[in-house]
Amino acid sequence: MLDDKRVLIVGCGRLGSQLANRLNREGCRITIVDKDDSAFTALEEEFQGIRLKGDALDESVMKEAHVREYDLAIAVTGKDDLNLILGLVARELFGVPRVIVRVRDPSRSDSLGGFKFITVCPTNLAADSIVNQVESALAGGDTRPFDNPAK
Amino acid sequence: MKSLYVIVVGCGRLGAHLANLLSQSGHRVVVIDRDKESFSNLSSEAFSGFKVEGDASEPETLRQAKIGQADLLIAATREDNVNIMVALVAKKSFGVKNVMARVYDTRREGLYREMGLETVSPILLAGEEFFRLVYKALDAGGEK
Amino acid sequence: MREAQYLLSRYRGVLAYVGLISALVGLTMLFPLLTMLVQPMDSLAASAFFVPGLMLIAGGLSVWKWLDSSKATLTLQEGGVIVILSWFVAILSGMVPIMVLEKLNLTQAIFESVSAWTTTGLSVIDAAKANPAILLWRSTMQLAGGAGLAIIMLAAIAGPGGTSLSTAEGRTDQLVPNVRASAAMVIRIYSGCVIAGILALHIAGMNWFDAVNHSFCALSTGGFSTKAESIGYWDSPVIESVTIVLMLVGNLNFVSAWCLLKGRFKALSRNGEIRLVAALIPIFAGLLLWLTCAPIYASASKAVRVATFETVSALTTTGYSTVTYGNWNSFGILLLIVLMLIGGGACSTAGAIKQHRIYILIRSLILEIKRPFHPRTIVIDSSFQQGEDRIPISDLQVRSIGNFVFLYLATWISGSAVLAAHGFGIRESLFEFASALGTVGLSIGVTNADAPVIVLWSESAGMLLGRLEFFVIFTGAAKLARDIFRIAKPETAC
Repeated sequence: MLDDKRVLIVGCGRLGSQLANRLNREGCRITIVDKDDSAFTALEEEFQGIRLKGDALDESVMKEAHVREYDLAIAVTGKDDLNLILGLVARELFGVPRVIVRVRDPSRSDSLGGFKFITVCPTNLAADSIVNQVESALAGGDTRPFDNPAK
Repeated sequence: MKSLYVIVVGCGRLGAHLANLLSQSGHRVVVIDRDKESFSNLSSEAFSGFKVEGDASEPETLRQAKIGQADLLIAATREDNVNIMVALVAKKSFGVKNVMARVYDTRREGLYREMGLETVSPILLAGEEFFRLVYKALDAGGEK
Repeated sequence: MREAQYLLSRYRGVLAYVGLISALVGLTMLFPLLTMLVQPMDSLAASAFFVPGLMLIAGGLSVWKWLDSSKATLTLQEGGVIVILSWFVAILSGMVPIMVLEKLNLTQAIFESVSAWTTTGLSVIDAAKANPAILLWRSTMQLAGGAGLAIIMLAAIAGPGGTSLSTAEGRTDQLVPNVRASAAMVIRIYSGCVIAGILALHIAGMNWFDAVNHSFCALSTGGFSTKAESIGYWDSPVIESVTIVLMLVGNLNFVSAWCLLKGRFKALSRNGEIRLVAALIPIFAGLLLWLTCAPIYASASKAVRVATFETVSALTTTGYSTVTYGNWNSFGILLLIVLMLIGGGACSTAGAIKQHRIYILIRSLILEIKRPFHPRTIVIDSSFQQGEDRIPISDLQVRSIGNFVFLYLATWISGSAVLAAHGFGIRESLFEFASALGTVGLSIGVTNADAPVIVLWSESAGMLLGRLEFFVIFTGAAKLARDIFRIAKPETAC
């Protein structure tokens, strides 16, 4: 089912390369962009996709990437602002149907206007996970884990 | 719902966000950070706890935060080693029952579990979430 | 366009909180109906409390339920707007029973209402002739006003609120690291003290009605009495002593009160305000005794009692008195004015410039003087004690305190000038306005039912400015005005 799905990944860091490797194994056609070509060493040998070196917002890079033709675009560079711009460009300008963006800063991740792409904020996820653990333990009435014997 | 006394070590993105959420829910929160500037990450509307400026690896700082009363301590600084050390000190020396530490290097997670620490890895969580969303997007992908 | 929409959505939150506070105000309005147990009230009188009270409760709660959706958190500026609107509601509602039962005109009724909520205690009503329900109502308003409508609200609701409201109201004390937990504790401490006060006063010789009213007003450092002669009516050293204790407790800021309860005496003894008070009271009382009271009062014990009582009453900005000031010499009047200007403890229910600021200024001055004598490399301890912690004194702090003091004194002179323009002497004008601005309540005779309208309005303004420490009113009103403009005329903002 994932055969021939075309995916654009911008940012070949830890997450970007993980995504690229896995999706490639599942049969997707991947184009991965990074401004630093040493980043591509994180890609597996079996990687069959296209590697583009350059600034993703650079016109020539965009032309090469044929931005219009993707089913999914993912922005996982190291910079939140860049990821957000890429998200907007992919979604609004080039009409890529599905766009997922990583934003590290929690205050950037909720927007006044409502982005039409999905943002993933690692901090929020971690915080929510912790808070959920705390609250469900308390709601279950089980305060034993949290009772401090010293008090 | 019972209000817990929570100490959050590290007022960076994760620490501040946690402190905001927990304080807003009614828990008593004390945030420790070495750098006073970090406290500006806290939301003045959501956070109503106390701030302690100091190095959490020093027991004196932890005492200032009244660690003896703590129900839960979360080590959320940017450095794995600091988080682990503070977590261990909290658990072994001060007897805080619930201690969580944030880790970057996920290879160490097993070791931390063995030491009795709960770990949180934002990177892992983000990765999992990303994959979940990607599969969802591509599966639905047929319709534009 | 978007901005107007955004503002409207923020105001949903603001108005929701105002609704909640209004409901609480409505609740306090029902309390004086308890006097019906002792003395019948005609239906008009009862409805003066009942009707507005129920309307506020119903209206306030519906607004709260209807508007409070997102549980969004507030900014400090929004907190200021909430405070202003709530005070508006409180003052107007407070005025209704007073107007109806005491047959006062608008100016007088608003004056009395403001004096009640701001815990001042200046009055245009003759307590001897007033309806007991009104007396109890005044005291109730002082109790609530002293605790701070905001603090009460925070404890009551299960929603967010952060520290913006209590900071906007002028308090930044916090006992425990969560604002709602702190608020709950403040309420407990306050209630405990009130009950203890009632018992103590009753044992000392007051009947229950008087004990309740005076406990309410002493702890809130308000100063309304059920007697026209204030505490002087009883001429009892015991009652005076108990009242002095209550006034001092009311003057303590909540953090210190909590330390006291927990037995953390060392922290208390290092607290600057407490030290200042411990120094000021003997000095001023001593001077008053020597130069003013001893010559006037027949017995030495009477002179000592008067000197001590009036000193504490003025400094804590309570406003109870045991004597009138007609026969006092100018020195005594001047001392009282100074005490009224210095005022009460910060973060307590007291008013004026506040001891905390005076203490910081004195420390800062001492530093200034010492500085040229010290070698450059010495590190001087410039910090003060707050609760358990030592907090460094920053230049910014000193500057903002300096600004505040300047503003305060300027307002005092202006207000006094208004009084003087109406024919009152310098002595009387300066005294009375210091009493109003500092929300003290001691009167030298200017304030009464026949006072000129402008004088009453100026005093009302003074009481509000003093209670809310100027800036909340300025910034809150400015934001409100600007926001209304932006919502009403969106095109100009685009």
